Amino acid sequence: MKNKRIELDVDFIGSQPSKLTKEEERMISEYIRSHKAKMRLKTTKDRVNV
Amino acid sequence: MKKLVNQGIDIEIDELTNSIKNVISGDSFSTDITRITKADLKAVTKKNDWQFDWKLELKYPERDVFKLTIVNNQTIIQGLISLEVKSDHVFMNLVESAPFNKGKTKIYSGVPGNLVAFACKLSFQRGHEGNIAFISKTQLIDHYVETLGAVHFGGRLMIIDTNAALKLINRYFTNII
Repeated sequence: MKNKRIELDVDFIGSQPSKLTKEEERMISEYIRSHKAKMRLKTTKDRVNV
Repeated sequence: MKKLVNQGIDIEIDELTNSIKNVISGDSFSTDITRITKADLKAVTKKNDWQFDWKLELKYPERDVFKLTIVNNQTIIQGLISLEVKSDHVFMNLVESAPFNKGKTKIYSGVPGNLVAFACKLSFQRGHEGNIAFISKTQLIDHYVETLGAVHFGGRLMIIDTNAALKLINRYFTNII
């Protein structure tokens, strides 16, 4: 089934000066770590179910 | 890239890939993304209606600035992106379409999408599994969720994770995968 996708329609992204706080950097790393763990778990489950 | 198909990623392409489209004629033009030089930025000034100070981005040694151009027309910049490769992701500092590609009177569509997809590709190339982080304005969070598959996870932070990155790369760079 073909769904219509909406094109990214912005003139710019971000702002200057663009500096992350230490807390924001920690949050990003935490999210990525947790996301990778979820992906690994899902892959393992998928392999077990095959 | 057969592996992606085997993982069951369901994508749909609504534009010609790795290209931008003239909004009036509907013609598509293949694009290149290359690292920018100081000389490229001569005309990229606030006076010429660019929003950001791109010369300032070049002063940060940890950041890489790239330009999107039409193939065989390297002198006309269609858009710019500033990226920083971090320890576990690529941070997208800035993206900007050229002044003539902004607003309702833009000449080409697809510029920001191409640039973001390029950032995702770079993230894979650097071993960060496509993960991209960026800061969003509050009123644009929903738009990024819908168009980029980005996740908002607090404050002004957004992430494009592996699956969303694969979809964007497939959408914009299918002809090279």
